[in-house]
Amino acid sequence: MEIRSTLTAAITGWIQDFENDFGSDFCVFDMQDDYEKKIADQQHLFKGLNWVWNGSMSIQQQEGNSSVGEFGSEDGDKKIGDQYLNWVWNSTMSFQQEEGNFEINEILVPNDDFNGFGIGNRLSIGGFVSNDEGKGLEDCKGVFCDGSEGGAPNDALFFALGYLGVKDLLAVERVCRSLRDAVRGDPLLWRSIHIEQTLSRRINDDDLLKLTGRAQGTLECLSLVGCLKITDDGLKRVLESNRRLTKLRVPECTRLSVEGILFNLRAFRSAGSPGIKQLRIGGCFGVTEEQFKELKLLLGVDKPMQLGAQKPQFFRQGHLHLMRDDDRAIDIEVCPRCEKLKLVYDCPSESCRRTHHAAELCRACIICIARCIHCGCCLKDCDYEETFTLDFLCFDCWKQIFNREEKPEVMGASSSKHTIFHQETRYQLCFYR
Amino acid sequence: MSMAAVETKKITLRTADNHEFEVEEAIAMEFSTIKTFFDENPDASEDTIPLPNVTSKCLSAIIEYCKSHLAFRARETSSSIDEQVRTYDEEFVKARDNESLKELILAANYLNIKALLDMLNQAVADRIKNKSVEYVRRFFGLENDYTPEEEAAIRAENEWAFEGVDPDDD
Repeated sequence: MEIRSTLTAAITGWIQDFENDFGSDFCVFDMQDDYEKKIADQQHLFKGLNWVWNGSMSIQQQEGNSSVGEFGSEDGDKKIGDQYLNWVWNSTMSFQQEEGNFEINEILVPNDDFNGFGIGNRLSIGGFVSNDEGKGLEDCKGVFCDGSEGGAPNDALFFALGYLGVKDLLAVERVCRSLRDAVRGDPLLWRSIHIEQTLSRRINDDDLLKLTGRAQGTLECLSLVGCLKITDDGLKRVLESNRRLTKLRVPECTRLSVEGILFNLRAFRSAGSPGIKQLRIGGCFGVTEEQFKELKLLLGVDKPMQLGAQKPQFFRQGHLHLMRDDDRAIDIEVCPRCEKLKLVYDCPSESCRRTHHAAELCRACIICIARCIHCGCCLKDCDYEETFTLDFLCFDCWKQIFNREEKPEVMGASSSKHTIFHQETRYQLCFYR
Repeated sequence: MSMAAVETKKITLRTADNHEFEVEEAIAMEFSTIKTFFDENPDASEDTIPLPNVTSKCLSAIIEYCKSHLAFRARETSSSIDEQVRTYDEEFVKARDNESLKELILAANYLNIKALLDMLNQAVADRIKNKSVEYVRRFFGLENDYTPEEEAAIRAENEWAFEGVDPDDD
């Protein structure tokens, strides 16, 4: 009798039925018909056989033993080595045995012509080691993982990894080993590192060093927004081992200092690295004129920035670091009105964009020209409201926000309301109604 | 196709499941793999191109996508066109389950269609962004192959990033 197909069905059924049954001493094959009884008679052989779904499996060949797995049958040696052993996986598979070699022997299957197992889905080949001594299956532990299709889904998933941010990459590496290896081992994923929002409050110097280390020296762009725990020293260590860095963004990192940044830029220069070409430091560093001169020198800015090359920068609270980035070397400049070194904003309102002259007049830091926190327009031609947090909202934006909120069903999905509120949270606005 | 467009050259593609698709040359040229092939073998345009790694289901979806995007591009650029493109892309992905997304990604990679690949990868990334570890596992049908010790170690290593987040929320 050939039990191949039946055993196939059996093992398929068995694997499907077996769910985290850690405590069982044996597995009962979900077999059909009269085989059931025969297998049941052999149950003692499965004592101590614990099949644990553990997601990984590798069958290792041990030297010195027979090179193929043998499942004993009533008729003596039936090799399964040249049969394909089909298991459903997703990643590697390892048979772990409590002591010594893996032993599977003498599962007495009531069969003459035992050709192998199939488990339905796509599989990989394994070879069992067996021991010639006919021991039972006691204390044999195996781990399986249930996979859907073997390698293919992982390939597709690996492509998508490059589209994830740091936090999601760290979550993904906890999923399984192959993903961990992919996330940690691929420097391309770490060539451009952005730390923002929830991570920025938590990351410290050591964590940053570890993360940047994954780029294996190829880090090109580092963006730290509001990373309150990062110190000058920590940044220094990161930059020491990442000489290929060309873009550095550190707005709102209150423990950093301009001197620290200058130190790093000088170190790059003396090491002969191409050096950082773009620096974003935001508005909270007090930069003196002299420091500004040296910064420009070290960034390689030897001529005045051409206005044409710069994109207009609009004020959007909460999105300071996401402003339309262009190729300018440094984000701060001399405010045309107060002549201090600040972030200078352009005006998106139509009247101010009508002529070049009007546009020039409406360029200044946020202290010199107050702006709507939502659209960035100056307030000279419109009504505005002052919010609870002492920011300004022009009347159009105010209407937009509150009209939507009042009539969500008219506007369609209520998610738009939530989006706005969510944005407002980031804008640090609190609207109480 | 209308008789007026009789000049349009057609290229025949044969999928893994032996379906043949006739597509306009312009669409076939969106597939960089095929474009490169024709650049190097200009006489081969009459032959049927075998695509052993692409199923007919995938190919027909991809052809639809390329057709639509070509049509969008033929119109003048404007923000409303951008909006329509965005909506089209969202709809394209929304109805598909994870399995078909994965297949499409592999097919788009094989055919080397950059825009589609970008869009699909971004869609997959969006589906797993900000989700718990368990969700990602279930999403991709992956099993946890860590030993308890390894799992504890990796959890501790990345603790700082996930403080206060319950990993098994959903």
